[in-house]
Amino acid sequence: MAKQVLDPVTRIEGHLRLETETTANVVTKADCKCEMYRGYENILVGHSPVDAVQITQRI
Amino acid sequence: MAVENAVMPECANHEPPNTITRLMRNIIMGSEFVMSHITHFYHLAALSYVQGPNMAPWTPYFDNSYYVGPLLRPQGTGSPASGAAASSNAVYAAIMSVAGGPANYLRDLPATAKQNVLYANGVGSAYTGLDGIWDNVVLDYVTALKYRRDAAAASARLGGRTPQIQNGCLVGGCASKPATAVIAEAQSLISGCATFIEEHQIPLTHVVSWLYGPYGGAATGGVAEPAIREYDNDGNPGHGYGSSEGSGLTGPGAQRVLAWGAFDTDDNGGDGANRLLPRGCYEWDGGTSTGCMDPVSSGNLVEDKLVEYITNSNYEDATGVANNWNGMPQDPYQTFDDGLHPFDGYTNPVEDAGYSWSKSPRIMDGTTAKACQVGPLARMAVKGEIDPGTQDYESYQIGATKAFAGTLHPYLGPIVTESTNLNLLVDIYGSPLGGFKCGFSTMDRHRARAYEALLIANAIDGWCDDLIAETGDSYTPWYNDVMSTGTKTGYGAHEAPRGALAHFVTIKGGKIASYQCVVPTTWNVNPKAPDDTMPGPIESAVMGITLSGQTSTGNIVPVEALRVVQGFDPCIACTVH
Repeated sequence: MAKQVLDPVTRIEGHLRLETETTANVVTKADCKCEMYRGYENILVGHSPVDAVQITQRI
Repeated sequence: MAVENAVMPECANHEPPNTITRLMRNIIMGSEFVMSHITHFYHLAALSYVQGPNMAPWTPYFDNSYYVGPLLRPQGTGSPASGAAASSNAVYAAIMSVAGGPANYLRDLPATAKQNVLYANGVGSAYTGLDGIWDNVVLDYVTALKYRRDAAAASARLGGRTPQIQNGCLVGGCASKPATAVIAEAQSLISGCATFIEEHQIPLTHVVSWLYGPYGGAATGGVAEPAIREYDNDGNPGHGYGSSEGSGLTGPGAQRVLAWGAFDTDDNGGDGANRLLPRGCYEWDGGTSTGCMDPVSSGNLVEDKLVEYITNSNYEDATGVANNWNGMPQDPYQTFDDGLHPFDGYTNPVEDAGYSWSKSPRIMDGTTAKACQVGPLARMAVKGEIDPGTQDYESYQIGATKAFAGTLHPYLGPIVTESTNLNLLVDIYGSPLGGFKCGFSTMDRHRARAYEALLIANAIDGWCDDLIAETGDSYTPWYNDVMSTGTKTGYGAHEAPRGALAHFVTIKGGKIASYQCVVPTTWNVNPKAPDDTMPGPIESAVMGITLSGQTSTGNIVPVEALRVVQGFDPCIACTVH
């Protein structure tokens, strides 16, 4: 078994880490790890509902 | 739209506030789809399949062995990494001839990129030669920049600006309907994009599919398999051939598709059935020859069947916690063990609680939680444009039939030359558009994305006509006092370019008390849940593929895994929101 790490996965949006395990070059296990946190849902709490459409567009 | 659904009686059944708003939102969002799909393919994904010139923005690139055959590498130059040899290439020379050198190439390139720069340097004459594909792709990289800008401009014509639209997405509708001339401008811009997609992007996705996925296979008289066999199906729907359907047959998720639907075609609202891209959740068992897909679940998908898990996510449940992360009262105290509907869900970040900051949304099929892939391929499957397990792309053909008329498309000449198999050409680009088995592979995603972009671009043309002809109010009044009393809940379930998007809001006393988003890539990239035998669609898609390359030290370079991930067009920033 061999392990590979693709970090960061490039030419996508955001920060993704992909960990794979292979046996004879065939992937037998894969973990997708999103490596960032933003917190928009919590930012929105307490705001006026009419703000939501502008705030969530920044997601 | 979630807020509209919560507070505007007119939108209680998910109707748009008025006809103008429906059309405005369709055009604005549709333009966004067109922009996104062109960008993803040409400026993000294609570079993993095409080795560009030895210069920015095409460097660095993979070693030659990762590109199938010579067709998608600079021709006649050997390894472009050898430096000097690349300068003998026509495209390279053309780029270098731009005043000021390559740094000015992209910045100063006028809209008529090909004519001004590359045709003038003799590249055009090489279209029917073996250099055709590579030249075209490199030219298209630049040309596509213009069309992605045009699509964004069309969106801004109506929305006031883009991204972060101002007009068209107010609670209650639009501030105004744009002047006819402005709408016509947007219409014209998108029309140009449609032509580009039809004449360039779709053929190129076919070429890449053919080169990177075995066509037909030896058993059916097709050409020999390329050295790197991946990303497409080989005519055997049950064959785990390095596509997402492989592991998906025994694992969860990859062969299930979900779309909330988008682009209302009337003002009636409802459950999404009236949309250009309809709502649905289907699975394909992979073992039938009929190619039919079955609904995953009955009932209201959004309201009753959607749950999010945090099994392997960096969040914690709220058992015994009186207040959530914001200090807002937590009601009720629920655990995430069984998954929560977004109306009941919350977001309490805890580092290292799992292995990802993505939650794991699932559709409940009875008591079984099922992962579903979302995106253009899912939408085309739900719409019935593709039929998994068959080789019939006929219904996948959008717009006029493109019968083979004896004139080779620039992309296709080299393939014919190379394969000496004219039937192949007809299969690929004649009528019907056969040759590619519809499935759930990486190449299917690229093709579906291009087809969808054309479908939407064509639809925008009609919406612009409708909007120009439409009279009436663009804004339906609503009132703060409606919102400020009591508790109100609402949701909007639509599509973003990358897939199904739903927002859920609870309003108490005029303020947002809870807001949960379940965004496209969260569906695709999520970690295993509700247990470790249930991977998310991208994890499932990567499992089973063969990684072909090795470095001199023997470590595997997972280029194929990169391509599979890119095929989903993931956005991690959206995912974690």
